[in-house]
Amino acid sequence: MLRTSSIVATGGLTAIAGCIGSNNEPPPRKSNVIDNIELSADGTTLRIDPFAESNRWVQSRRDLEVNASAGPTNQTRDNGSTASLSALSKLSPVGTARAAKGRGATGRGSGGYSSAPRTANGRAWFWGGSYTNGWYDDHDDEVSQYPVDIATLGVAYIGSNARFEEQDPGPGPINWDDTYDSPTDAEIETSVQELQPGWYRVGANIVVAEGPDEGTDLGWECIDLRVEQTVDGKEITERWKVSPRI
Amino acid sequence: MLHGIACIVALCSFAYELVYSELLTVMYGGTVTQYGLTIGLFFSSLGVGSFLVRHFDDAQHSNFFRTEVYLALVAPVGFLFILWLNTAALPQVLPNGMVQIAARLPVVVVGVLSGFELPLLLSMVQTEAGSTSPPGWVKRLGRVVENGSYRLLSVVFHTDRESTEYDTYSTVLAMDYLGGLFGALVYVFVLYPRLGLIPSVFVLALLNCLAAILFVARFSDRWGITSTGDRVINFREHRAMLVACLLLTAVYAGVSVQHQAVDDELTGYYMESLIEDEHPQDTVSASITDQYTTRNQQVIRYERSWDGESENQLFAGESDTCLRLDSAIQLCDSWADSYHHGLVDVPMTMYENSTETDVLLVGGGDWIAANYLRDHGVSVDQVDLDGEFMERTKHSEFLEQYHNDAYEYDHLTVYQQDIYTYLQGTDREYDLVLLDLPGAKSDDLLHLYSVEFYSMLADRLSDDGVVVTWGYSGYTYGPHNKAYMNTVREAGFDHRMAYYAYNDPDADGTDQLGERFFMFSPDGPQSTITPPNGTDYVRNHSEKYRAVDWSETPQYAGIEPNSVFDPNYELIVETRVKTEKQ
Repeated sequence: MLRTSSIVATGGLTAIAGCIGSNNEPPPRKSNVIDNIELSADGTTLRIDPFAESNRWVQSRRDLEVNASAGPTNQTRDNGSTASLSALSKLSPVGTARAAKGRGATGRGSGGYSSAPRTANGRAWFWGGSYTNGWYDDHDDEVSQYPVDIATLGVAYIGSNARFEEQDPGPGPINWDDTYDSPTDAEIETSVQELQPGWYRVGANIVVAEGPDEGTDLGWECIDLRVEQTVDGKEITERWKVSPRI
Repeated sequence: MLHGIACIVALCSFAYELVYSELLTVMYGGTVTQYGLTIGLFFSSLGVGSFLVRHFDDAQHSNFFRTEVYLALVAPVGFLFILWLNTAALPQVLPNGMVQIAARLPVVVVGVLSGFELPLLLSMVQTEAGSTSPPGWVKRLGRVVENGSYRLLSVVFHTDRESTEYDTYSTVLAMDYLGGLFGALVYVFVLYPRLGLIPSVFVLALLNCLAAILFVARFSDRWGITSTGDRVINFREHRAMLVACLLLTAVYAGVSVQHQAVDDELTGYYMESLIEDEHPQDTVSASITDQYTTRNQQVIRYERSWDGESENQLFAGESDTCLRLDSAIQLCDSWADSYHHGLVDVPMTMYENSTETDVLLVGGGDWIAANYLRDHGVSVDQVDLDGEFMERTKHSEFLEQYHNDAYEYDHLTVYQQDIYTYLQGTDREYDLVLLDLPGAKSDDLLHLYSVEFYSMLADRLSDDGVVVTWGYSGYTYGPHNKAYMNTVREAGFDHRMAYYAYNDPDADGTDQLGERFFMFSPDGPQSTITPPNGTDYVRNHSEKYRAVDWSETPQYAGIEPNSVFDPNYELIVETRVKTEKQ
């Protein structure tokens, strides 16, 4: 590209501060969709417990016509953990989404679960951190909270821990092993058989629950689970809330 | 002689500034930011250098020689340092700001050294004043310029025909600024387009060395080629410095002669690192197999291999061949077909497969989309800026397997021009507009993601026309996606249909989610994807495509659309794996 200088800046080393490569990305959106995920009594499958319809919501900057309530609630609030995320490295998108033009690098590295920021439900919050409260406070007027329904619930085995560390799929849908359309509020015992050690993703495709924009697709909210074989049998040892940035 | 040297060294210094501005733009993106910061830093460093020169011994004119040698050394080394900073696996504890500051240090050092030059030259010119007489033609030219400028300035300023305090300063400064202008012209019209960025810095360093040698030849006590009796200015310098200068001159001369090989080597080193950085560490290695630069972009073909411990899900086989335009990925063997199925075959289920359907293809200089369109028998107008790339890809062994000489298609008309120019100059309407463009990885392409661009596209659509493009995932590139949707909506595209391409890159028999595509309509929902009308690919995925429907284009609060004169830089994506910092 042919290009010539066109701007004479004010100069000074202080001009560097805040102007070069600073990360101002918004935090992950807050949501209340899936209440709990546990192993079945015999440890062979997963039990998914969505929140009751009246308690189900997501926050978004989408302009929609619903009876939205403005501003954040505390449900997915960072619990004040200032643990550094430096131990978490973003991984490539490789997971199960392949096309290389538009799928980019996200993910978690090895370890870091114990020091990751937490949601109110005690899950590690992917992309969360102490910056989230400040961001939500500063953008209070842009964020609305919408009641949502779950259009589809999906469950999939991502792979072994080695695969997850190297090929974490990042937020969003993946190839589901099992799907449940328009699930009720009742607990779902999935038909995933022979639960194996490794990583699973439970995803909920949420849609606006009411108003003129009822049915508008708001994408997927996911929970990533690590299942490990322990002396007491299989256990879910890590739970990550994986949401797109608001 | 001193005035001539002033012109040469100013040429080099100003051109260094442009080289570093462009390098930092390539590294970190944001043309306005990088050029602005670099120029500001450079100018302030000039001031620091000019201030520091007060500590120099004004009797030691060898300081000028040393300055030129140091500049010739620091400028290329600083350039390589910045390249290294962006490729090295630095400790993650280092804050990103520290790396950014380190990347600007070469600009400061070059600026400070350049700041020494003018005061040193002024001092020497003053010393020499009156003792030398310029050639006759110079005197005559000088008189003409002086008379003309005197008359002009007398109109609005107080002037004096007699010699004034400004005499010495004004001539040296004039040559200095003239050198700056030459530096800009030489860089813009000669160095960058013909040699590229990397060889340019070595050529400029060579010029610095030659200026130093010229200075030695004219003024050195020991190595000057003119009689000392003819000189007011004399200096002595250590032999080692001269040897160093000559060595650097020889090295840079060699690099300049072999500039293509040097460019390929360093570009390959940088690009391989950049590609590998888009994956977790030590999972993918890249090897450049071919590269060239056109007037508009750099084209790189490479092989990527899987080095991870887990089973490779990126592609089947040992390696995957890919093509990049600048740093944006254009295609890989593992998904070339599925991408074009999504871009062409899926929307073509909505239109008649005949020459009655008019398609505008924007980009697609690899001719592959044209090949897919040929299979549908439609009329195609293709607009691509890079004619050289299109010419080269016609006979590319890698791409021939995909385009099947589609450039020979009878119903294909190619326009080698900017798409803005084309859209402003045509009144044709199209049923289908396909955008096969590079990704939004730099602000060079922001105008293709703007309200103005999409507004022009909307004006060129027929009544049931749509625009189709691949898009960045909203899950991974949230800020880009939101700014993009707001932009498209602002341009009048109220409705969109979003779908995926599907493929099985690792050949395990399981279809995976591939590229994301968006179809936009300014006139409300159009017809939907109709698999029975489609190719084998579409029919094989009919269940998935039948479920896709139109919805309103999302709109997001607090996010500005992107406009040509009011850009939203959130549209620019960064694909390198980075470490989250608190």
